[in-house]
Amino acid sequence: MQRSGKRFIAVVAIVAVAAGLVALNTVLAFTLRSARLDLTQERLYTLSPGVKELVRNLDENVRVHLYWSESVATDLPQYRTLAERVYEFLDELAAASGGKVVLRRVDPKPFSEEEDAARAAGLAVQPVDGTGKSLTLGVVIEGPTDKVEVIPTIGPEDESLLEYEIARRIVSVARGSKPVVAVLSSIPETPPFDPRNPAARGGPPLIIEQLRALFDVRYVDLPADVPPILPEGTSALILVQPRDWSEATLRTIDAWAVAGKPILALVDPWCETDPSVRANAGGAPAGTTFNLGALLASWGIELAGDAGVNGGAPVPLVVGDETFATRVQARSQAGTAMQLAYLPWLSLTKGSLVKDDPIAGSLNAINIMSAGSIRKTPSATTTVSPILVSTERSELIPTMKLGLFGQPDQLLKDFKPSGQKQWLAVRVSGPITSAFPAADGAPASGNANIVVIADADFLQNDTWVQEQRIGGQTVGYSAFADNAGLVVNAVETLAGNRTLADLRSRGEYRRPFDKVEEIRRTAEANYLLEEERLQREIEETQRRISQLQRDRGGGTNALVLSPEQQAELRKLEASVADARKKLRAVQHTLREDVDRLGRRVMLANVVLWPLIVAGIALVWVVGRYQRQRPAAPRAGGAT
Amino acid sequence: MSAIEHAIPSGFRRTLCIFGREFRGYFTTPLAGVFLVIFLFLTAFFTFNVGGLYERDQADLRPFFQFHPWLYLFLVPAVSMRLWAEERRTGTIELLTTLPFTTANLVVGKFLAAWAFTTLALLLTVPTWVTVSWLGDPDHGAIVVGYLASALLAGSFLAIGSVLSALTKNQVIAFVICAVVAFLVLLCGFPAVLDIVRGWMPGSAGDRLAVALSSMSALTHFDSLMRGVIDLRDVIYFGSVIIGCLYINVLVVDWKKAD
Repeated sequence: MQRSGKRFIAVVAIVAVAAGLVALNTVLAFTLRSARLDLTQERLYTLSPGVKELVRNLDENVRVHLYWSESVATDLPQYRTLAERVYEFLDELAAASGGKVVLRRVDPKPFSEEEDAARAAGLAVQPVDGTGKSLTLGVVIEGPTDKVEVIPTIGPEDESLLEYEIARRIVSVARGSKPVVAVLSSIPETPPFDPRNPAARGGPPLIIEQLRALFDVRYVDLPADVPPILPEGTSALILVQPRDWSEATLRTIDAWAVAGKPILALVDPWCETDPSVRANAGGAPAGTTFNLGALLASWGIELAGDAGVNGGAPVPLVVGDETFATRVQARSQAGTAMQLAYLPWLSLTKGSLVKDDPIAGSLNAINIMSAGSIRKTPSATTTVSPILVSTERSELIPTMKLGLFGQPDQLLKDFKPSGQKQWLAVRVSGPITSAFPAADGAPASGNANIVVIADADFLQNDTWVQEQRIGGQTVGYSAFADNAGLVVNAVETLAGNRTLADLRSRGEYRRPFDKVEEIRRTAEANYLLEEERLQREIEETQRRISQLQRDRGGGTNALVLSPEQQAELRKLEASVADARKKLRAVQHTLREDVDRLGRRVMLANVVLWPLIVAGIALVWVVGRYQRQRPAAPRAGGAT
Repeated sequence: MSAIEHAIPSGFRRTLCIFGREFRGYFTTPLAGVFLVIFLFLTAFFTFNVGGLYERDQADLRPFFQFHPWLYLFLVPAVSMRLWAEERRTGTIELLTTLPFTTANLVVGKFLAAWAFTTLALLLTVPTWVTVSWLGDPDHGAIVVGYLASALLAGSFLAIGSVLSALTKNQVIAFVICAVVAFLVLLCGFPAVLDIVRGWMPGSAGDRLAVALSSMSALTHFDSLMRGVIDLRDVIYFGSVIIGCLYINVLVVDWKKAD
């Protein structure tokens, strides 16, 4: 009786406790918010002070609609938790704004008005793998005007970048009238059709489109003789790869600079994405160089270049950096297809982006292609401070060695680090004097407000975004570098507004194994040396073979080799075959160092460490056994 | 009044006493060593050979932690199965109950010892952390939270296993049932398990239960911590599962004691 009573209590208690657990956690899931401790290095999931400041200082209300297919996703807990976290983030943002951000949650149920609204706003429907369901998780942001910004989809990988993306859009819709930015460019806004890449996306680069969310970006015609007409109210100029611009145009820019108005100049000693290069891609060199007349000198800077031959134009130099070199698929001169570091293409990360400067300090990664090295001239009156810098493991490469996709292996073989950091982008401020003498004597002067980046290729989509396609349709782009942030921040800070530049773009794109990268670099360098040596050996032997065939006895037996010559020929042919075999063997060893380290690391963790623990356990057990043994007879004796 | 004052510290002392005895007990047989070595081998094998930690070329411990829930499905029941089933089979439970310990002292002490043992196993995986730090520059904050999440998950499974072990005299049955229940707890909220609930309880009641259960999935709470953020809800989830199960455990032991 007592037992059955206890049993009853136990069963009731089990049911009650289980129900209590479910109830507690269900209630907490919907009520307990913002009680969390973000231990990630960059506080990826915490609202930053910059954003709080931004929403608090909005002039007018901004409406944020979170579209989330809640009713479809009842049994998709992973999506539900993601959506819940997005909602909490927005809720926190709304709370921090003091009422300036109004948050609304919308469930676009199938065949409802909300669903139509979601479609009309351009939100994407994502199919959920293996369930036959599709759902919407996106954000629509409306400003005081009829301006609308949309994040069509949010996936788990977007979470760490969410703050920046939302903040950028809030700024965009909140701005009543967008500042006008005039673009003077040698590269047309819409690239001409490229027969070699017919699938290329038309329209202006994505960076320009992102810039348009915040600024009224207008491309300006550059007539041959008359000054260009800048749009009314222009607040900043962007110069893209100035090339063969008329003096009238340069004078306009000069006057703008001297007036202390903001300029972002992209001057590239080797612009390989310039469409005018593609048009005549028959020849070897493929890349345009810039020419800004005397303007750079008047700003107190110059780009590194070799003195021209016989007084000709100086040969531009680009920066090659071993540490930041981008890995590309290439062929070595012996024809081996392999991954190689291409020195002039740089994937700049921490250490290269100058922290103290608001333009790059908040960014994580910038990809640039064959950029120049900017220096302060000895006669400069301006203050020049770096924004992007290379490491000491860098050198200056003459553009003649590049060609359209130069030879990565040759560049690696010739690489000699200069031991000096090169400046790839700089900010110029302080007094400047006009580059053009004024008609009435003294040239005009003023204070510079200029950012110069020695690359123009980084504007192109391929350098920083990847297209996301579902069933042949582009659904969006995922960024693997912050190139757009660089341009947006530059224009924002130049135009005197640091709001967005102060936001940290905190996405962690990659944390590669530095150790492996180092080994890979060394292995490649060794491989290329060995390949070159063997290649020379083969060429030398082949030269001797042809020599031998030419030298065969002049007399009657001109067509026949002497037995000695035949023996020698066989020996030479054998040595060529041998060298080729070695060459193939060397190719195999290329990845060997990296693979060997991988095997060692794996074995150390999977085999060695458990064995060590097993050994310690064995020693422990044996030790215990031996300690207990002498005690046993005594214990026995006692009984 | 003074009795209560004395009872609290002495209750704690008694629990500690059980904890010490039980924890030392793990190391009196070679089984502990065997368990640790198997655990270390399996975690490392899944991390490197299945998860491809090295080939991924990413300095984080995602491939390491992502297999923990699935490894614990089998390894934790192996520890928890003997907690009570063994005492009941050999009859030592009778002896224990004659000692001046409350059932709560016994339950909590035994649980803490088992948890300390699995945490020791977890701490012995630190060489993997060292490996990743040597190869690159991982986010250490996120890794610390990962270890915390893993320890909490193991604790929840242990608490569940402890209850189930008290319900049977047969360790094998305790093992199998614990693995099945842990699997359901891991995946409750996922379509596979919710469909079972709906089949078992059709209609709107089943739907409502399904919605309630979906916030109980250990895997979603584990993944949430895995980002490197300690969310109070996740901690409360694991904490409430542990405390709730231990409470049930006390009742079950009291009920079964007379068996």
